[in-house]
Amino acid sequence: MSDSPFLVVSHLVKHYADDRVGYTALRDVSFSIQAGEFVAVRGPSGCGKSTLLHVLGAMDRPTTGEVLLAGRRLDRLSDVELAVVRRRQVGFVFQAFNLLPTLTAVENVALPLTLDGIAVAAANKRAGEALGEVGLAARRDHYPSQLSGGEMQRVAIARAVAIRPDLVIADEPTGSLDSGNGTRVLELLSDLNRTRGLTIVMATHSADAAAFAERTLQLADGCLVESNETQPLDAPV
Amino acid sequence: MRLFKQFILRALWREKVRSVVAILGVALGVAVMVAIRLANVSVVETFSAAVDSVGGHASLRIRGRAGRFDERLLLELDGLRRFGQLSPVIETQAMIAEPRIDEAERVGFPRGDLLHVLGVDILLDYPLRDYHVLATQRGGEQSAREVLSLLSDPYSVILTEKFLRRAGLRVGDKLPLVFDSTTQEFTIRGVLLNRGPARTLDGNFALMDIAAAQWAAKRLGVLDYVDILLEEGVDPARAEVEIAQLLPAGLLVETPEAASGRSQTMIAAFQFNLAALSAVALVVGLFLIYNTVAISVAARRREIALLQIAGAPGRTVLRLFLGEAFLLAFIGLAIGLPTGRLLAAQAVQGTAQTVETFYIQGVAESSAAALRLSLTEVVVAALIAIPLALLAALVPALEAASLSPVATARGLGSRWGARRLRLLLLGSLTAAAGGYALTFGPPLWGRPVLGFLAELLFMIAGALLVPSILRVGCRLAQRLAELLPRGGNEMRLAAANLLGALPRVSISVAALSVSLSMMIAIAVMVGSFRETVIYWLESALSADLAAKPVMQTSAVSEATLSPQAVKTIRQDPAVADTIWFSSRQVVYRETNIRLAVTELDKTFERARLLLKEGPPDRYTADWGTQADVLVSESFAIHFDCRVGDVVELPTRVGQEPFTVVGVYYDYASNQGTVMMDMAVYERHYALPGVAVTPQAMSVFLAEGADPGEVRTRIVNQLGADEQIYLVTNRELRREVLRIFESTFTVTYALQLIAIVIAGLGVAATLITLIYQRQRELGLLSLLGATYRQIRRVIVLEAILLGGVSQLLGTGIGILLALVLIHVINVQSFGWTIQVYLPYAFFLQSTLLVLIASALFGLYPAIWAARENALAVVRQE
Repeated sequence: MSDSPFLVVSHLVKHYADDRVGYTALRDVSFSIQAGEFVAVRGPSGCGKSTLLHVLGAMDRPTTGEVLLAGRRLDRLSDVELAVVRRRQVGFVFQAFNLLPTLTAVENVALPLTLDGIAVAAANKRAGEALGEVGLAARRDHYPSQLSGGEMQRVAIARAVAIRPDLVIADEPTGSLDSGNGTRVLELLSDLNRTRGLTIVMATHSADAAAFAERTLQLADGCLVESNETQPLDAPV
Repeated sequence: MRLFKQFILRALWREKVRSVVAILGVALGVAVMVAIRLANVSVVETFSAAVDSVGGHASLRIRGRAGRFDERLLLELDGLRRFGQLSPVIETQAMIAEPRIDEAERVGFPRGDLLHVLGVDILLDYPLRDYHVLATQRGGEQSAREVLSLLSDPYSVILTEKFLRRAGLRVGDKLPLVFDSTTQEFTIRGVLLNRGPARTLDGNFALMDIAAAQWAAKRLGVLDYVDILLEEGVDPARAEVEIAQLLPAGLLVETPEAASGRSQTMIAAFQFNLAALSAVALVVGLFLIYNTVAISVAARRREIALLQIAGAPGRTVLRLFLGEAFLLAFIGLAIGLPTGRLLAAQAVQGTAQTVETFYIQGVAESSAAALRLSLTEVVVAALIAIPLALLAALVPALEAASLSPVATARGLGSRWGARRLRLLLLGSLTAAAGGYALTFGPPLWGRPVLGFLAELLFMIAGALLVPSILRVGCRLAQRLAELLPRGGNEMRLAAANLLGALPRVSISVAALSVSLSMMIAIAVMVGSFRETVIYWLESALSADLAAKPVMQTSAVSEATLSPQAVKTIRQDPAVADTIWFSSRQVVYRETNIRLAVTELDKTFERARLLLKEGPPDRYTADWGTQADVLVSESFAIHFDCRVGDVVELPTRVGQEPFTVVGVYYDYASNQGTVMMDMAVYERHYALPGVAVTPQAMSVFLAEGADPGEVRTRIVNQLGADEQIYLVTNRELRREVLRIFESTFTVTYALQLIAIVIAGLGVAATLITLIYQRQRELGLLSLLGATYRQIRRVIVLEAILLGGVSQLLGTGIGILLALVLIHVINVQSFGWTIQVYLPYAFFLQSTLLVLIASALFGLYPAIWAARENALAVVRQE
């Protein structure tokens, strides 16, 4: 692991404009993340957390500023190149699970692998292993409609890690779950961060969830207002 | 209304493509139905006008039981004068010949046009018909006596104002007319104003003196009928009975409507079949309404639930969706009606040409002129399309109204369980069994109603089978995907997507399958018919040359070859033999049939008849001495007649028995035909003193003779005044097949339209599926799928839908073709067709459908690929 930062964001501005109104979601945001770090992004609704994650996850381009992922300028890539980055380097976990209802758990997990041209048998094998890692080996042939919310989110995590990504983007991953399932999901992400050295950026407005991360970026009105080492919940403030 | 605006109108506006596709589907369906109806109505109107406007005010008509009759019988009708005014008539047709050299270059000269000629005793006939005759273009109206003086010269003719204007002719001009095969020059003596008989066939009408018409048509001493204008106060029904008792044996009395009705029955079968086919286009259009509303319901389950949770009762939801169907159908109707009027001009060409070929001449142009979109047509179209659209929407609308708010809000209930599939399968089997049972039913009201119902049941059976077949198809595609390099990722996804949307896609596949099945059924039927006709032509057209008068332009024309023409042909040194042929219309059991006369010994010698039943190929009995006849297959089927039966035919002297000794295949006409030897005909039918002349001759040449050379020699020898068609075997065969193809042009066009409508249905379904799957497609993009990969998934879905539809369509199509061939055709036309499966066509159409599906899927695919990763996460 080199000492240079894995993810560097410099003077990032994201402005949305339509015919009538303009809106600036991110204003001059700069920070960097080391490889293997687990970072939480916190802030109230509308502060720009999701927008920041979209840009980091190669889903959207900044209006101005630079985003460097493993030494590559994301803001300069074409649509196809961004798709390849998403396919190979970034895993996603969302609040709404986002599983394809017509595919089984293992097929959902294998999907980004097969999209990348990996043979079905090999993809399914890797998908099966990923499901095993999240404790769902027995549910591999179930459709999403046959799984509970917590299980669906674990399938989503398996899908995110099956591609062996450099970065996992998690946007409110516990937002649709009860506290028990939410904690299990956060423990799982934390485990993966520790055991596999995965870099994770997680948006959340929950202090409890942020406590699983090593560092917290605090956003307000599109500006980065604080970057702190996360304090364990039971530590004195 | 506010709710309708918020809930339905906004959604229709938001999903413009889907709305436009549904409206287009209905509009095309309505347009096709209206076009065929208009074409049929205009052809029937022209047909009736030709009969009725000539019929005039006559209340009763006397005619020969066996067709034309000897005018000397008029003497025996003298006692009938107490009932009213009697007027003898001869009706014929004349063709406008090539004009003199100095006029030959004149633009617009109507050479080749047909004139309907009415020959009457003008003094007797004036009160019966609505004549308004002028002596010059601007002169005053003439009295009956003055008109008689205009026609005093036997080469005089009075033409209509409309025809003269069109042809650029004036009173005093000469006009060469061909009666049968002989050209004679006539002088135009007067103008008939555009009323009464002048309206016949769009003005192609000529009035002549009866004696002059008899002379020109070589029918001296012969009459077609006598019209009677009853005195005021005489009851027509009673007069008919009394006159019938007074008539000599060979004559009968009837109302002019009876004759006109019989004529219309002939074309009714053809038109019924066409109308039934056009209804298919409408049904497919209505599938689209069902599709649109069903998809509307599926796409808005959540909103429906919210409405219900907010307190809207089920009936409000029902009304909202029925309102949507009404709106779509109404707009479709508004577009479809004028489009139908435009299409009708094309349809009338096809319809009228067939009617001309088989039944009556000169209909096509006049029918096109008579086309109009009347209020009745608008009301009929609205009364068919709108209730059907509401009916189509009822099922999904009821489903919407009965949804449980909680289940709907959770998004449950959109998958079909195995039980539902089993029920559909059972329904399919029941419909198929019902359809099969109906094929054994007899015709109702003379129409193959049960046959068409059987077709409908088979289509329903096929439609109900769709979900099961689609499921199997998708599973097979998934298996196939595994064998492809990289696991056929897109194909697996496409198959999985379709499996997940089975209820929705089944409707579109059913619509497409039904349309394709109709196309395939028609192709199999027409192909089989064509092969059968070609086989039949081999024997029917075995002669080297065929001779017929130029006037003989339809199967029912009774123009004859002149004795001069017959003599010239027979005397040509290269002619080895000829077979004489003639036919005329007679009434048998209140139906018009053909009585064909030929030289049966030679016909059998040269094996020119394809026998279905009856005497061996080489019939040894003396045809001339026995009252034996052969009947065509359509006659045998229509009148349930077999070899050995006795048929009572009207002859010159009344009804006489004839024994049926054989049944032969005949595809030249669907009117039943009775064929007898010339000697038998002369004994029972020939009028004393009237020479029997052939309407056509088959000419067999000596070995080595060149047909082209012989033809040139005969035509040169006959000169310009004797115009006959002398065609080689190959030309005739080509002509028969050309007529055959043109008959089915309308059918092909209808099928094409039905397929386009169904294709629109597939596109609409895909667009809606994509609309509903925006999240999923965005997710694919999020997971790194490129635009190309997403496009490929959608196009593969379209191809899968097309492939399954084609497979099912071919299966149902073959079944429908068998019903068309063995039930509907037999009951409509009395023709047996040998089944012939066009495998090359199956292959071509499959390829075409797969390509078309891919193309129809391309727009939705491009649209879908635009969905980007952000769309999915932004919704959170």
